[in-house]
Amino acid sequence: MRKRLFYLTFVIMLVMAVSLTGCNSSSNGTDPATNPNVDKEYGVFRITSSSKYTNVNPHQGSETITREIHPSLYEFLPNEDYTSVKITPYLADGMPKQLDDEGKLWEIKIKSLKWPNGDDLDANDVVYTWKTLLDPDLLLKRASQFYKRFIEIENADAYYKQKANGTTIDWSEVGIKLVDNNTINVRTKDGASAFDVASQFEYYPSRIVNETIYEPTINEDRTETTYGTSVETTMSAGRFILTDWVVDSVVKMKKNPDYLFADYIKMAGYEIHKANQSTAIQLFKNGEVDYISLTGDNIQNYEEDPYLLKRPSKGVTYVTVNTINPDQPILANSNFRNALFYAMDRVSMAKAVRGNPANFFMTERMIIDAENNVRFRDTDIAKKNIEPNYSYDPAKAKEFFDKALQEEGLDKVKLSLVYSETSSTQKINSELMQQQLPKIFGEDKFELELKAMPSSARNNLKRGFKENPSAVELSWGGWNGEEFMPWLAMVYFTGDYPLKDTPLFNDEFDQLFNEAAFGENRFEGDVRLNAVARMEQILLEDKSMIPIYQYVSHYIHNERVEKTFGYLPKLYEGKHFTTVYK
Amino acid sequence: MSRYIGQRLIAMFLTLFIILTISFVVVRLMPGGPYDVGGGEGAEGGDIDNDLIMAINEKYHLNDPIIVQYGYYLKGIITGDFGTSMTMQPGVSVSSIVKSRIPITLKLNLMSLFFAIPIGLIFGIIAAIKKNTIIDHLISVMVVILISIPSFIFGALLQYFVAFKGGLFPIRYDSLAVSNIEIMRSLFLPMFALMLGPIARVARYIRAELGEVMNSEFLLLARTKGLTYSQSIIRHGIRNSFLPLINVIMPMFTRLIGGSLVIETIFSIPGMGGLLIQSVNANDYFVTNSVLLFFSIISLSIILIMDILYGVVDPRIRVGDKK
Repeated sequence: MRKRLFYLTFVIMLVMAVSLTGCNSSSNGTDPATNPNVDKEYGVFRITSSSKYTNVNPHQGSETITREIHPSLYEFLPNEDYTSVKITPYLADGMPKQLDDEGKLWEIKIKSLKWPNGDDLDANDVVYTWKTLLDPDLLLKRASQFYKRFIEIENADAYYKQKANGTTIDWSEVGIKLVDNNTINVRTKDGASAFDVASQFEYYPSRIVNETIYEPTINEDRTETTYGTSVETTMSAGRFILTDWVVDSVVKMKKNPDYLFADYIKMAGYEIHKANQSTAIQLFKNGEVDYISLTGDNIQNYEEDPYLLKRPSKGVTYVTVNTINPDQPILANSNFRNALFYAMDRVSMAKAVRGNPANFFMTERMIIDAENNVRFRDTDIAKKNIEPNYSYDPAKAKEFFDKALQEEGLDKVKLSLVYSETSSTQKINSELMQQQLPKIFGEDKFELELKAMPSSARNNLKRGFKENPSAVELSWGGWNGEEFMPWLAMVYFTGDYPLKDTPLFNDEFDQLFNEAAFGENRFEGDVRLNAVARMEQILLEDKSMIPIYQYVSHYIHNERVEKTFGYLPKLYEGKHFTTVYK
Repeated sequence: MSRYIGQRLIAMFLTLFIILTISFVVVRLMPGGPYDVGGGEGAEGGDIDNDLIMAINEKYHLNDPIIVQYGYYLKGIITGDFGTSMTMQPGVSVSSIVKSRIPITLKLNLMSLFFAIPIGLIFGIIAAIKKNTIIDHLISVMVVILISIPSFIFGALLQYFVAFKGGLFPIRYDSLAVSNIEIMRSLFLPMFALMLGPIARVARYIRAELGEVMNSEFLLLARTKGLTYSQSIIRHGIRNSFLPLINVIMPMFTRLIGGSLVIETIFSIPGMGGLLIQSVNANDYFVTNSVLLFFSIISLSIILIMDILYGVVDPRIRVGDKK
């Protein structure tokens, strides 16, 4: 009897255990029989990513999915041969129209469309979206990228930060006006061009949201919103419709048939699966995904593969020299910095991380003339900034080094280089520097100590260089730019940049930046081209930042993916314009 | 018994309070802040100037003295308001984030333990009964291997050989699976990888304890009174071996949760395992504090249950307490 009771209890518990595993809290399961991704011609584009997509609210979230599911006033569409892009009105009915002589007052016509839930989609939604983005109580983090990027919207900054500043600014003072259901006016702080204004309202924080869905997600005291944190709290009206989403696991979208440029979307749907590198490769080889990124040693397994894609980054990676470190006055010595500059074997360092060597700051992705598709690096003035052999000259480096030692009255230099512990590329290149530099300068004269630390700690040290200049000597840095406005990224190196982490203070540089970004004559002739060239020259002369390489991302895709691109300018890899067959 | 439990509860809350205080201070002292945006390629961070940082700090009371912030934190715990995520999932309440992650982690870890304990017991009992035979030696070798090799190694091997090469199970966890069969298939490999260590530990302890008990006089008395060999082992031997086993099984649960971090990463399971690491890297104070609170409550509850179970399994502990 006892034995039967025991076995019965065991069986019951086993059945309960199996049943428990069937309890799935996810309400996002998709029945394959009614899968909206099935399409007769095109297939679903399945990729992997190590990123965590946790928020698709354009006011707070990451760019990748936000761009795909929210509509904007303007879109970048590829040209016929997919070599470049052009800005095209989407919700807007035409390019911005200049209403004054200074280029500060702009009219944008908005089409009358419908949201998927039947609500009207017009200028009212545009103003609601931007007013909510700038709400001083919500304090949504993408606001600063919205009101000041390619243009600066009048009084938007003051309105957004009024609580912090203890001031009172009414919405009517902000340079965004609803004229009628199909017209908005935008007033900028400085004169702008139509392209500048259109670019501003293509940029992802400006993407439009639906008020009916958004308002209920805001809490009682209007300090938080959960819009864009689940499928239910998001309205998709862009290229794709969000269908399934488990945070930190998978995002599934289907093509939006009502997207006005639907003919450009040559796939039935788009899925992003979270996976680490080894899992991604297994999924790819198994045919469960179509496109993955490759890192580290995995790249060499596909180097001969015709489906390998390379995407060079927009910016460069460099070594920052803290010239104001009082414990290491040699860092302020220009001969020493020249020594470091010419001692860097950029070719071998770039090869070690599968990047492109760089003895410049503006990469070939930077386009100085968007209308004529002229790349900065192709211009004569830009070419003058480039030295041969990627500026690698050990003899010259040794000469500068000895001179610096003599000037500083030193026999030996011992420095530390801080790198991010999670960055394999920084680790590899740091170790290369540790090996190579003493061979050039003299083993008994130069020593480099390496310090690994968490990325946030490293950033903290770098940004605190003014308050605590002794904390860091050498460190790694990098930057990202706007392809069609390369001068904008130079803001990182200006004197009053709020998150400044480099010790470059140069009045001429700041002036050039202001001229290129805000100057009255900036649209004339080669003003911007000359400014960018001279700014790059100043950086290369100063050498408090020593460019080393341009990072290159590698991807592999399968035969279902007929047409994809390493990158298209402004399209953040351009994956959504990939052709994927079933 | 109730006094015994009461004393344990008071000790638990005191310990929890100390842990919360220390973890709160440590998290606030971490270098970096929620506004650190990575530079270099792919950076998406915006230009957050000092004015905005001050404003956001004001919103989340981060400008207040640390003792005031601590007061808000304790008030939040009591009222169940653990704050809002600042960087990981902006706008989402911390309790929602944790609630969405707990089920899958608990499911994975509980299932692993549920199967690991009886399997470990069986191996341990067989090894003890067949002591110094070939069976015992084989089980001992298995135990050494399973204890020495971390669970994530097994996880990676299982994923590669069984899922990828063999095609028997999915390579990664399917978070959108609906049917029981699909969910079980998705979870089988990570669960199996997590089970192996506990199986070995339980088997080793039971073998050692039972082996010792089998030589004891009370078991000889039981045999003398007429019980068969199996009856004496099952009715008397195993129960006396259970007391130290509680000490092994209960902490296994907290160890499993920590160990499942890598397993969850390998199989792309959106659980609690990686949440702490992610929140620390993202400098998301509220999420970090809440996850630490969660782990602390789990660990202390397990210790409390252990203490209570001691009293249940061994009456001597209850009698001793009364004295």
